[in-house]
Amino acid sequence: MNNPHETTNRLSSMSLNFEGCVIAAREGETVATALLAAKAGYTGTSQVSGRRRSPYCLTGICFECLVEVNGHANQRACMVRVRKNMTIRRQNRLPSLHLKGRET
Amino acid sequence: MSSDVIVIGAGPAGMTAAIQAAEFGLSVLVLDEQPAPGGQRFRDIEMAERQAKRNGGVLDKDDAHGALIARRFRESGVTYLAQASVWDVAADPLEVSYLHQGSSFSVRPEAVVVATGALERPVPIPGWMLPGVMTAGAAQLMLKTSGRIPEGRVALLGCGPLLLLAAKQLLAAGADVVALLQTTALVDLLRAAPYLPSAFLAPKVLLQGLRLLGRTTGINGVASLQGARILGKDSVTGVEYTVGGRTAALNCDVVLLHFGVVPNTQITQLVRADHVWNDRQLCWQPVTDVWQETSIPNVMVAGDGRGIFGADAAGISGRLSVLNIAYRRGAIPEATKDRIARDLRGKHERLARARAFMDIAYRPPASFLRPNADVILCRCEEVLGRDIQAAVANGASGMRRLKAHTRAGMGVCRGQMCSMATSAILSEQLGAELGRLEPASVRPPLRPLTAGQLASTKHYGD
Ligand code: FES
Repeated sequence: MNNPHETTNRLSSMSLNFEGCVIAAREGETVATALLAAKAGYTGTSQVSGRRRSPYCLTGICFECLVEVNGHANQRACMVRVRKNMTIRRQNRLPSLHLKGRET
Repeated sequence: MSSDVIVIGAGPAGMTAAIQAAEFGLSVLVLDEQPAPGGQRFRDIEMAERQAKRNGGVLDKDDAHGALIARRFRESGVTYLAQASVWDVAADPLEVSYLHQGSSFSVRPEAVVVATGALERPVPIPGWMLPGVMTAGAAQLMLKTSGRIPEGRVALLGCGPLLLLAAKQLLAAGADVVALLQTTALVDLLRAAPYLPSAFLAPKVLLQGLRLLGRTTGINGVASLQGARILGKDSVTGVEYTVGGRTAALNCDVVLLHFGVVPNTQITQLVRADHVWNDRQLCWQPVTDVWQETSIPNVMVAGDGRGIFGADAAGISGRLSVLNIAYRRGAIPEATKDRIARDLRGKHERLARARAFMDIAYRPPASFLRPNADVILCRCEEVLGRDIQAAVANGASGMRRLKAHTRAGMGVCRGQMCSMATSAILSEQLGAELGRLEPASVRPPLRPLTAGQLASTKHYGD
């Protein structure tokens, strides 16, 4: 492939834990793109109908990408950069605005 | 921490506003949600520049300019907080509350510059909430920030220069682009033709447009799209679309939607500034005076949040937005303010006029803006088009009532994804022009925060 963005020395890769599986991520990318590339399929389900949610805008607007990162709920996967050994879980509900969680 | 001015957003407008304010000697606090400056247009531009250097390459001219602004921004001496999410702005007294590293803070500045830019227009079509559907801008960001392309067969659907650019970039990156389905028709281009002369006032904008048209050759293209639905149960399997009254279908794994961009008015709506419907760009925008001040004193808007004019214009608009703030603080005399403003306004004016051609040529068609009864409009609360129709029929005559009846817009995205579609139904059913409706109201908190974070908010007095 002749992807001009695919630079040979793009910084090193690292591994994350997603739902108990090890997935590879690239330094500098967000949790959302790492999950999309790992074919995670979906990042959570909605509380209303149980439909599967997946990142949509990658700009922090839609909140479709909410996941649990290192035990903290309500994290927008597209706004969080990957770090070594992060643990990510699907979030199987959409939160009301004051549910427990942490957002930086 | 006390600040003369808080700039919200570190894209082209926010960065130039901050640099200019710092040059006038004002103390500036910049709050931005991203990990690095650049906004969406120049997302991760510093990383891109470092990478280009390492590979012995160079950034293209526009990106190099963005990288230069980012460097000047870093060196400007402003206080810049990355990954800071504003969750409230109160008008009287002016107070900005934000989350940073897990804690909440409130600051009272003399003035605020809202530089939160634009978002891709959410257009609900059946199936748009299936995994595998993203915006074209999202795919572009993914490519830029991670070097990754969407997996599988990709179809792009909608209209606008960014859709064409994304198609081209994805193709060049080796993506399996199986279709480019555009709503744009020849009549749109003819309608836009009278605006071509003013497009020549900003040849760069025009050239970009023309280059894009040429670039999409080599992709299986469909124009004049009248309707579409995305197929699939748990994820995308294809698209069914209508052209010339006939329906066709194609198989794909990813659908990238794009219908242009609209101002992000979340914060200006939150402070209840006056807004007006822009019929050419089909969006709400804050009413501002010549100094870009909203109807709320000392709340200025800079960049695409005031109307869509692009990154170059945003850079100029950022500088303009702080002139009156600096003058009021006694940092510059009136003559200086007026001289700088004259020069900047001339440049902004030329770019703005060139934009008309794009707005008209790539106007999203009414058939897409009026959502289908079966489609989920509000993703957060899963409200269907027909729920909105029923509520309006039952007397919900405005956005506030609709919210109460249906919960549309009460979810975690605070109505950012559904309010345009909801108001389109409202306007149609009431037979009232969109511009005559009240825009959706926005309430804090803009971002999820815990009761604990709220209670332990640190206040910085002025
Ligand atoms: S994908 Fe839209 S907020 Fe993350």
